[in-house]
Amino acid sequence: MLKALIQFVQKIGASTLAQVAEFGDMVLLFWETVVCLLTRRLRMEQTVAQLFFVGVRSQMVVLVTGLFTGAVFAAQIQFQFHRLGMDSATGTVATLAMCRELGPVLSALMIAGRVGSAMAAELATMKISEQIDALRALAVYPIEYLIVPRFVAMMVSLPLLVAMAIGAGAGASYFVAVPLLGVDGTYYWDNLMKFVAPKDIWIGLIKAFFFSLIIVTIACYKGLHSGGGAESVGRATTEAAVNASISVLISNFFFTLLLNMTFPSN
Amino acid sequence: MEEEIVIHFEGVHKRFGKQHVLRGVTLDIRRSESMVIIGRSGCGKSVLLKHLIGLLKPSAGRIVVEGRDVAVLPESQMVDIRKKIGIVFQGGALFDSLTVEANVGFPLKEERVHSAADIKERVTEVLEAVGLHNQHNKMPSELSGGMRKRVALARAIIRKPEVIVYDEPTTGLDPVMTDSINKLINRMRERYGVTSIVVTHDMKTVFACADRVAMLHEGVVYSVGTPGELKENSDVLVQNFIGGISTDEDTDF
Repeated sequence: MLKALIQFVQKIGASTLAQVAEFGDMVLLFWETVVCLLTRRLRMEQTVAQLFFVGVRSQMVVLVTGLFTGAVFAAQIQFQFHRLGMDSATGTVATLAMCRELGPVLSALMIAGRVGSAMAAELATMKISEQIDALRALAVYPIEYLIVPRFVAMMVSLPLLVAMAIGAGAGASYFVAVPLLGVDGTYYWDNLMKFVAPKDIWIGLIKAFFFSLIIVTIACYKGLHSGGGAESVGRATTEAAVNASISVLISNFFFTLLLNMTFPSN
Repeated sequence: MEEEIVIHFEGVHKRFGKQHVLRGVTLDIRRSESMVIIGRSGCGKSVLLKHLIGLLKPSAGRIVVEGRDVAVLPESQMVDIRKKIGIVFQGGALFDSLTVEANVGFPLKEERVHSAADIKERVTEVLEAVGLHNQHNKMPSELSGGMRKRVALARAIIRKPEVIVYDEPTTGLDPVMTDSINKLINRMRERYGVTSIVVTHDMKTVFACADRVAMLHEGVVYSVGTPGELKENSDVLVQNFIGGISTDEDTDF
């Protein structure tokens, strides 16, 4: 009994140590990337290619996410608020939610799935086929060539994509609430202008920026640290998407508290 | 006159966790010679090669390349060493997203001193040297195994290195292609006067390319000599390896 308990505690201890070591390695990768970004030249060819992949090719996914989240959220709010005679607050609540939470979080989750997993898979494949070793052997610093362009592309693209999702969600909530469910358009706009401020959009964009760093760090780390073989590539891909998504969800809570202190609600 | 030593491994140890792969490798490689390193799968041949260009750092020991100990050299100072050594990886390690021309011209493009026209001219020259004509625009996925190795060799020689390292250059190739790659290794030496280090377990490559052969076994250099001396060596382990003979231990699954 005692032996089993000791083994259990040892297992938990070993797993915790491994997690802490992994987190430490991720912080080191992040730091190396920041130093490289500030001290070495930015490779424009690679950065533009990544901007195209991360930003341009993710537009449709984020647009659909924003449109239908805004639409369904507006519909649900109208259904509930209608019973209280508060239909005109539909736009305010839906748009605030899109700006502060739904826009950044759902877009980040979609990007973690679409881009994070693809980045991890690509880097892991490059690792197992010795392409990363080849880069080093050819006197090219892999962080500069592979990681910095991905960081820059994510940092630029995700806030822009989130802005698009917020716009699409806000627009969709208007069309669902006003023409479709019969909310008075004048009151809708009046309340929206009264209660939604630029700082709400800023909160969404600031969150997006930090989410981009979380996703790209986890994705690159998982790709660069995958083992050998096809199974490891699969594992790196899955772990990148899952870990990045969970990290986005958990960190979002803390960002919300922090940003609410920085930009208090009226 | 004593021949000049270009690369000197001295008591090199490498551990991966509990696994002790290299257990004190000591080996000298002379200028312009063709040194073939043989040994059974998993004996640490490729690991030894990766130490040479600083892709791995030894747990203990020294690796002196052109008078500089790469074991203690920081990554930033490895550039000069890496420019002197061209490496042909086992699977080619060609960049998937680049064409043959871009792969081969990559090292020159990275130097940022050559014009696009110069690079194109050099690429054509080295592709012809490895027997590839009009393949510039193909992607690596469109190439056969032998062609991939040739492109990898072209990429390795474009910067005119002093040493070319081949990691299992004939693995996975048919006998005709194996012979063709062996001839290519010899041609590179004759044409460019480079030092060749070939890691292989293919005995045809040993007898076709080697000036000297080093056999690695259980993490140490077990035997060094010319191919003739290797043939004459009466040691059972050496003879079993040359003849491809397994013992009861090896067949105990």
